[in-house]
Amino acid sequence: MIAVRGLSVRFGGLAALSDIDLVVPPGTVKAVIGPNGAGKTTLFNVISGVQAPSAGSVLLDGENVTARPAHERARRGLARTFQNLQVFSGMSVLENVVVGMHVKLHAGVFTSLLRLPSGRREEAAARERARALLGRVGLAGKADLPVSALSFGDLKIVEIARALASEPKVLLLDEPTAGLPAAEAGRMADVIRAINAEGVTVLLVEHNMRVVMSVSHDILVLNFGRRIAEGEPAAVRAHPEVIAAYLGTGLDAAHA
Amino acid sequence: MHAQISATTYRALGILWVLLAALPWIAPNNYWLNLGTLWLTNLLLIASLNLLMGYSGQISLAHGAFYGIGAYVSGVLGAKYGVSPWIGLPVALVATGVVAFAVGWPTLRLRGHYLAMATLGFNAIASVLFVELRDWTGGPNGLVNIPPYTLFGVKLDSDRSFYFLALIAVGIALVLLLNLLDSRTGRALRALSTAEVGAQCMGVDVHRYKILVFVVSAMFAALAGCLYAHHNAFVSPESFDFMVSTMLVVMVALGGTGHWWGAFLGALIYTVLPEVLRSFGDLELLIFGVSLILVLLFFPRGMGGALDLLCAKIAGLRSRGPGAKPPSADARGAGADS
Repeated sequence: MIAVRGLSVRFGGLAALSDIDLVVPPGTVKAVIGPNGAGKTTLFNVISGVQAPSAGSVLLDGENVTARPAHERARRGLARTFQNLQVFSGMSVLENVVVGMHVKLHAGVFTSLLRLPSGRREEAAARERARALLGRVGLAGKADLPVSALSFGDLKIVEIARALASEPKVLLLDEPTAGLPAAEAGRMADVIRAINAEGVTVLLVEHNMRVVMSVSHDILVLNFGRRIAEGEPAAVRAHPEVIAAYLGTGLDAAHA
Repeated sequence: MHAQISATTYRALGILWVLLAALPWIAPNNYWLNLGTLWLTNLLLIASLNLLMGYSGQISLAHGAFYGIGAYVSGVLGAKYGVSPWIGLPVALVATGVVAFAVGWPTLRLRGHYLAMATLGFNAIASVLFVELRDWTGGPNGLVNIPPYTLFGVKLDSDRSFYFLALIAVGIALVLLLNLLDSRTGRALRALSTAEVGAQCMGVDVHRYKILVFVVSAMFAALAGCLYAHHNAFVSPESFDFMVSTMLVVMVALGGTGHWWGAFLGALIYTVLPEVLRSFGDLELLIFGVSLILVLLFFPRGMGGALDLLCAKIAGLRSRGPGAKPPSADARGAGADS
């Protein structure tokens, strides 16, 4: 379970987020939508521990983790992907996914230096599991390629596989379909549903309304760092302020 | 870009070491053997700095200082207190590790130029201490009478015996380095060097890993220092000043930052070029500097990167040679037949 309470982030005079409350019940998919600059990525950065809030708190499994660094939140079962990618260049696709297992593996510096059998076994099993994960997301054939050889869309999927490799309880997906061809956006929706079906709680920032409406149990709408609506997809779609925020075009037309 | 570490890398290292073991019988005289020993020591320094710079994305202008701390701790223990160099070695490694930890803890929160300046400052402090702790270090005149390593009562002070000692010690160190790079720890280091935020969010305690690699890298430099001190029987402060640290950084870049074999080439240049250029007298530094700029201008990934390009070109030529048909022609042929 992930929740934020009274969250505010100010950059100088600019309020990126103002007094945001958010609860994602376990096992559900919640989407955060809003026009560009609404503060969606800032919200993700605060939740994952990359950005400190000016006020408010972040709760993971009911525990206040606001002061805990990002790597500790990852250890407690929080994983995320990035809108503009944070892949490890110079590594193969498979290695990128194995990095995702960092919190699940145990080899320390001495095991590593001395190449102890326990470390070797763990390493072989991790690679095996990473290969299986890549198979599940349809990238089995590209496992041994350097990440530099993959398309933007494929790298988005590599990031998801890497996040799943940490066996997260909560997964934050930052615009998973941005930059994908229309046909692949549908596949991404399937991937998100499959992840959720395994019990992973998902918080999603997404512009593609078809994907948002089809995968979310619940939607939070932000505009200029403020909550303007929240609720089930059908209710949010009909909300007048939401329609106004999307220039009166209506949600279905807002995204081709 | 990091070259992939694989079983082939270990095998190539093994073959190289077998060839190097033959050097004492091939070398026309001991000058070559000493050059070999010097190359091994430099290789250890540059490869360990490459671990920090190339694979972990940090910079240190204090590698010479850690090299010096290793040399002085083991050297002083041997020369002033009669402690066996075999005891001096672990003491020097631990002492250097502790100092590196103390230096790394605050400075590794800095990045780029700031980290370079902070480590440079530390090297300056170490240089002053090597001179001013006169009672131990012998001051600017240097520390004399450092005893050699002994094995079963035999002094390893001949050029040949020490060459083998260096070959074994550096060989082990390089295998440890390879092991580290090809492990959970090494992967975390390579991850934080390319996408720090991404690594953090995957659970890598970035600051802890930066300190860890800083300490490990410094301890490898200390090992090089011990070898140097007990081979040379004499150490003096200028062997560990900021100029040495700067040259080591340059050699990592020249060999190819983050390229495993780049360190071998960097060490070769660092060892051989001064010997070759010696006859040019004062022009030495000028030629050195200009050739350095030229290499980095045309091969930004260093000589290791240039070597990769060359290998790729040769492989390309071979596949286009008369013996092998291009695959597209085969496909077209098959299409016409059916």
